[in-house]
Amino acid sequence: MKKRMIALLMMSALVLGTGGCGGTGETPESASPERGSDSSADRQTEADPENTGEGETEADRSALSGTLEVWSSGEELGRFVEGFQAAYPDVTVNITVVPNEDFVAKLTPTLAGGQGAPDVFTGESDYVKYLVESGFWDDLEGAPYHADTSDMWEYVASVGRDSGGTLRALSWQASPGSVMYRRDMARDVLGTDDPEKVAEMINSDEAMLDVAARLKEKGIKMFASWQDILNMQFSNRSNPWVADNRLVIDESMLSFMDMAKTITENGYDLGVDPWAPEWSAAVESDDTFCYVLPSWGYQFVVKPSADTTKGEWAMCQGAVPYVKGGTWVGIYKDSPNKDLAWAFMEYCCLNSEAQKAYGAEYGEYVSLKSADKALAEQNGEEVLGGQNPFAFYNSQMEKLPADLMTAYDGTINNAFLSAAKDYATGVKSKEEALDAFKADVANAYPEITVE
Amino acid sequence: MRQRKGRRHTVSKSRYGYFFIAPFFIVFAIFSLYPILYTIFLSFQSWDGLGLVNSVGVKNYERLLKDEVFYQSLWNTFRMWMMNFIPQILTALVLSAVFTFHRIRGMRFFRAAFYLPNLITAASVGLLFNLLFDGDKSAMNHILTKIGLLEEPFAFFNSTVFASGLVSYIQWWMWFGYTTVIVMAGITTVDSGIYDAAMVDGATRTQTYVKITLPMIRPTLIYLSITSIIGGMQLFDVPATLTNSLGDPRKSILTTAMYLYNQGFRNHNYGYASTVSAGLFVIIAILSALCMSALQKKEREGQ
Repeated sequence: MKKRMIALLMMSALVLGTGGCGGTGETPESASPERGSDSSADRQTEADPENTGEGETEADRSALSGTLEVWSSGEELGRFVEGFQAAYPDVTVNITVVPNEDFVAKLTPTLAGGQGAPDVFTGESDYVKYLVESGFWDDLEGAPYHADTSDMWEYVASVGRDSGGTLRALSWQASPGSVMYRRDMARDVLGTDDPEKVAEMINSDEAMLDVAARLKEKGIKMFASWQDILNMQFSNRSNPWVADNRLVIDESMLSFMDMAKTITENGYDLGVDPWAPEWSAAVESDDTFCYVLPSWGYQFVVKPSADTTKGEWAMCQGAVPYVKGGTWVGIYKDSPNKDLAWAFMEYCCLNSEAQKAYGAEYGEYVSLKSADKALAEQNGEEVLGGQNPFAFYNSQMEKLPADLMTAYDGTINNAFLSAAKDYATGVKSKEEALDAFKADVANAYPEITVE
Repeated sequence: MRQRKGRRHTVSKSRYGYFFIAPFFIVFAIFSLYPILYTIFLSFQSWDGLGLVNSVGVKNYERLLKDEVFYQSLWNTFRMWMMNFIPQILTALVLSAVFTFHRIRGMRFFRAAFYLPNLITAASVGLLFNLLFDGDKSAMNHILTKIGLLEEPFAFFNSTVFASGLVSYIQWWMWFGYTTVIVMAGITTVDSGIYDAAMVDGATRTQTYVKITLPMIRPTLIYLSITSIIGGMQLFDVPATLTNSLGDPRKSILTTAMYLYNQGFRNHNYGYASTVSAGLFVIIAILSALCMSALQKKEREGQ
């Protein structure tokens, strides 16, 4: 008996030991390496060299000095660094780029523990509401910031407000969406490549599917992935995912599932997930017609890859105008460098000249109306055959619906896409897929009521 | 008088022994024991990572007992481990028999080559196989359609059987070399005099291997089984990087460690994630105990 007890104790020690240290087996640690945490030196050389920041006074620039720690889930914020450091020569900005999948996992323990937290950190649209409500971003309309958001597009500022109305985050970008299509294929199949006329041809879900059928006859797949279309349908809803703590499945989401099924059955898309290598490579392919992506889609997917297809792309409105995604940024409430942090944030989000230069260099749609209007006056983009994306997006921003983002969006969107995929590929019926979706949401967020 | 002197000698020697083993226990206590105890504490709380920690008693455990996804993830993990472990052990036994009882030229090279997959980061392997199989224009689809085995591209990752089998295959591929090396090491501990005795008694090679070598290396096999169970039930990196870390398609490769990672770091339910990990610990302990008693019982019957 005694021997058995000792054996049992030793076995528990073995289990605890190898379980804790992950001895010879596999461990449940996060597997993805931090690909992005290169030295910030690489990022600074990419940033635009044009002069910026005529708004600051000389006194401000010389008074501020120190080191600023910034955590960003994408590369864009790093592109402001060089211009910022030209304006504030005594401030060193250390940007750490943490991939989006790991961003919350890395950020939460540091915020909760209070050790090693950055002065400034971003939040992508999937979880920005979660961060805004958590209170770890400082109030930007209070002292000493007194942020003035009158020049900023309204939805950008409203997403950055928490449920009490306090402004906690701003953004340097706005992300209205479009359908980015290939001009050569449009001329070939539709007879025209003019954005206005093409928009008329795809001004509803049925119309889009008709065009998809016409393209299919010529062996062209209309969409890179039907999952892109969720970006657009997201704004087509009349209700957010969660209202009064209950899950709301909007009618437009149900019809989106049907559309996904039609697209998959008829082979109107490539059959891959967004951001798969094949999806990104479809920019240069000769059998994919369009991407349905917001403004950052042009900047990160189409523009960098467009090589032989330069000049053959254009943007037009799809079935509905929409806005999706984006990254917000705020100041950590216990940061010791709040003045430096505010200088940086002001430069990126509220400085019209800086944004104008940034938008001109990178083609990204920025958050200040004055900058966007100025950029719309400039030349168009070469990749878009001379079309000016800023002019196009300006027209879209007028028509946008209210923002329907919630803190639960990230997980719910993933669960919904998974369910839609099962229905589209014919594995499950619509009711089964919806039941699986509801079970997933209930499992992830037990505080939400799900019927 | 002499007895007293003897006792003093004994006591002072033990004291130094404790000093030597203290570093490990101190590090273990800080970096392993404390987090484990804190996890158990967290399992009775509700916490979203940034807000306050609220006590909820045993509500998390009640939720765990009714949680179908948890049971499914346990079954997924166990099934993937089983499909990996049995081929692994068989391969290791066959290979070590071949290597030990036959003179193979280049045996050292083969042994090293078989061990190599173990050295690759599991995350890279997951990504590699994803690129090989995912999508209509993936490498595998290309090859198979070109040589005519498939008529049109097959959606590999839409098939639950394929995804699950692929994870088992990857695990087998990564670990069979290690298992072979360990078994071979175990075989070298067997006294060669026994083989001479068996040869004199007229045993064939197979009989020698099955009836003499295998029972003699039982402790090695027990060690391999238990560490494999413990590591296998904690499987996370390969299935997470293979598809989209939600266990798609249709949660077929959702392992328990993935489930608790998603609950904690994606859905901000740190309390419930701790409960899942406590549940996983209990399951692994039970499985290890069963495994050990099964292998030991055979030993007793043999005697």
